[in-house]
Amino acid sequence: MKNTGKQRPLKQSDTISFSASEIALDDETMSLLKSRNPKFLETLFVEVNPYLLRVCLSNSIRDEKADEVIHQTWETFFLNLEKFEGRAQIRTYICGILFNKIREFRREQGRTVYREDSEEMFEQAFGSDGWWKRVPQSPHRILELRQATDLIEECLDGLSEQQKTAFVMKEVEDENSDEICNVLGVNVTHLRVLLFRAKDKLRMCLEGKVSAEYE
Amino acid sequence: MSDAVNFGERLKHYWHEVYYFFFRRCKDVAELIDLGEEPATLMGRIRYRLHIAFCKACRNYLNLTQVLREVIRETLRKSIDPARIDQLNQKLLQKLSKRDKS
Repeated sequence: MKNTGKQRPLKQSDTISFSASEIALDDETMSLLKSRNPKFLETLFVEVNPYLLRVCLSNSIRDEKADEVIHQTWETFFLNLEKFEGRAQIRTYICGILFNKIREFRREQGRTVYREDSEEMFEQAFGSDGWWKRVPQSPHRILELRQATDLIEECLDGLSEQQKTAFVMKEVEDENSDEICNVLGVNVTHLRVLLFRAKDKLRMCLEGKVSAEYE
Repeated sequence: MSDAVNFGERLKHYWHEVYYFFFRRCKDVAELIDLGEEPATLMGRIRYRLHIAFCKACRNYLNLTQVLREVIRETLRKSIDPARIDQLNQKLLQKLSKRDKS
């Protein structure tokens, strides 16, 4: 939030408008967060919660479970407010907390948190001369599925948490690579592998669904 | 016959050299597509765009990225009911905010 010179305490009647993806941490923002000003929080929730819900949904966490995970995420955020140094945007910082909550949730559910993304896997897709080993085909058939929400969600289910979160943050939410690396705790090379693998799995799954549906 | 093969191999070798110099390799282009970035330098951007223009496989990969983005974005946005977001926001607000008494 930009500093506008002389400051006065914010009242409930004040209108606050900002974009959580652009918000910078300054004294004013920090004091609004610490005082848990209702107007400020409302604006923050309106900006950030749809994003958090999309990340939950892409990780197959729906309805009450999603609400529960998001509640825990915000509680953790406010409990650890002092640790937030403003190096990341608020939205991505909270998404980092959410990602850890999703992993905890999955562990409690007994679902495997697997790692299958290595640089080697990316290298194997190309020959020694840097050309594709298996040439990507035109994706026009996938577009036939755009109304089939259930099928697309099924395909998203087949991705690991890291792949889903990387894909949603990069492609759906347009986050920059450095922010995503911070959230997932990976380096750029690993992020690239995650995105490559996510697209490869989605493509295979969706093409399979098109064949099953229309042939 | 073997001269013809050698000539063909040599031609292929030189063609690759020229190709890589001007157009980059598919692997490098795929990396840029995955990270949604274009090279920082003008020459880099020219080589990237030339590669995309001439390489059908990379063009397909770029299209695949765009199609997946569009389809998943639409699905996720459609799946979330705005009324549910409001409900969640209100619950959070009740639980986490401190009322302003001034």
